[in-house]
Amino acid sequence: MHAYKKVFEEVLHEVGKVVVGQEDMIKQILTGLLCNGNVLVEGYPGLAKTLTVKTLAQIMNLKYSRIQNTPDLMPSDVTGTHIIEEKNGKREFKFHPGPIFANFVLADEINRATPRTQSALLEAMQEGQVTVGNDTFKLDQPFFVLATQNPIEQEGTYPLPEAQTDRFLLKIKVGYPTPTEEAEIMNRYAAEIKEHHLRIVLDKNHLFALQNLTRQVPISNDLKEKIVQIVTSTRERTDMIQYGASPRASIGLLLASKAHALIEGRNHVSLDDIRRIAYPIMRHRIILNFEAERKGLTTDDAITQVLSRVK
Amino acid sequence: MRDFGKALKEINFELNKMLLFDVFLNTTLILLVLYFFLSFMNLPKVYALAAFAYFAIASFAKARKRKTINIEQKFGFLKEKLRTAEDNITIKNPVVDELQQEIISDLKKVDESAFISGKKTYIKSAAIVALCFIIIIFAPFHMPARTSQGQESALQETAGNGEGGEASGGILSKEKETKAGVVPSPGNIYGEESVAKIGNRELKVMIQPAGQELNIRNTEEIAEIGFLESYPEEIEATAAESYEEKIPKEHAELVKAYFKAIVEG
Repeated sequence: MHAYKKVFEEVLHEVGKVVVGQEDMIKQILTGLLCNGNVLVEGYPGLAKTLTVKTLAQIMNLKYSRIQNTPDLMPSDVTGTHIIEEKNGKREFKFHPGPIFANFVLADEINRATPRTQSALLEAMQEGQVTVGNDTFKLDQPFFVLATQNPIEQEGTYPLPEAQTDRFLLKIKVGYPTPTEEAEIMNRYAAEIKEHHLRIVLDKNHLFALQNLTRQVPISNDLKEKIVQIVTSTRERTDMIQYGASPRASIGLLLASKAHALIEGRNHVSLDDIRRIAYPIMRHRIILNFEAERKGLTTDDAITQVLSRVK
Repeated sequence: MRDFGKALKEINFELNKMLLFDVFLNTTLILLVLYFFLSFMNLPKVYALAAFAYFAIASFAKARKRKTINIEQKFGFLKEKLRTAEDNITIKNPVVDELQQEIISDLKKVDESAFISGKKTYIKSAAIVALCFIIIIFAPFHMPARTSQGQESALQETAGNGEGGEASGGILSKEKETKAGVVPSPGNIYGEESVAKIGNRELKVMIQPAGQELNIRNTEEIAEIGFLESYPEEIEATAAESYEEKIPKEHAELVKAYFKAIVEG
């Protein structure tokens, strides 16, 4: 297990060459990768969301693409389309794959795309394949979508419906860097422009092996019961939660806890893993009621209250 | 996996032994305390057997309790690990194997003594010895705080059949003790007031028990007994009477002849 921990430390080190701080975000993105799940990142602009994903793709030697979502973005712009191609004097339709055909897809500002385009993207996330016309194309594995959304812009946006957000394994909230980190960012990026030489730490096969290993991390029956207790109690707390987390949350919490344990170099899941991973797993899966919103509570506050009852 | 399974079995066996010893100590203590209490209260000693019910329940409960949790509580480095490995004992994969190996090496640091509290065991043992001594010392005195209903009736029965002549009521009859200013005492052996009769009259004799107080408020005036002058009637003969048997004449003659013949020879 220490060997695996070293691998993740190396990943963090390499990403750290480009991104200052944001260790929690990087670890959570890695958690999503190990679980073969997709991640929704919410944070203000300029917090290195895109840079992190791009760097991760680089050090894993994976194909990376970026979709900048706008209201006029069409589904075919995401999935690809058939174009007429002339070959040997003959014209024929040939499929021209869109940016979705990559291993690492960054869907920037996903809430700015129309629901139709969002659906095309989410379908690919769910099925791992794309259907254009009568043709179905399998997406290359590993396939990982990292969508970002800006919490402050409400005008001209199409917030993702709850059913759609449920398909993201994790919702990561990106916070501002600490003053020390911010000073380091200034020093690093305001000085002369230099190219970062990143080392490839992981490749596809390694990633598959790690994904396989994640599922093998053992967990005690007590902790499994606690996971069920946490998720079901979100449905019972009607005093502040209108809609609780779905069974997808239970599966996600179990799997993500295993991945978190692996990243931390442990060969078993602990309650601490569950507690830490419960926030990104459940914050987009529960809807607060009016009373809780009136009191100014957030979903994270509700999760804290739910977790406080688990000993 | 086999090694880990063996290790788990050994852990359970050793911990069960220790827990059973603790339950045994507690049971002995409870038994002695109950016995002493019941003796003092003069209640049936059979109730002390409730300690064995405790033994059965506590042994069952402790034997059922998951031992791995006990170990994890005592040894922080095994926290959650041991339970996880125990729950996944049938699963075979590199991660579980590594976990099991790690635990086997960690278990070498687990001391059995950590599960026995020397201080508690010493206190319990000392209490058992002290209680034994107390029970033995107090046994000859047999000074119960109260007498039981059974004992009281047995005493009454004994008193009723005794040689003291207390035919009615028995020695503990409270009704009679309170009469004639006598302060009742449980050990009244003087019995009934009436012990003899002259003619048709019953003599009322009260033997004042020595060393008892006389309650002045309850004393009575001495009852004066008036005697009537009376003389026996004179006895005199009123007439002389001769007695003659009414025997038929021929019978009388026959008898006379018989005796005459005897005399003549």
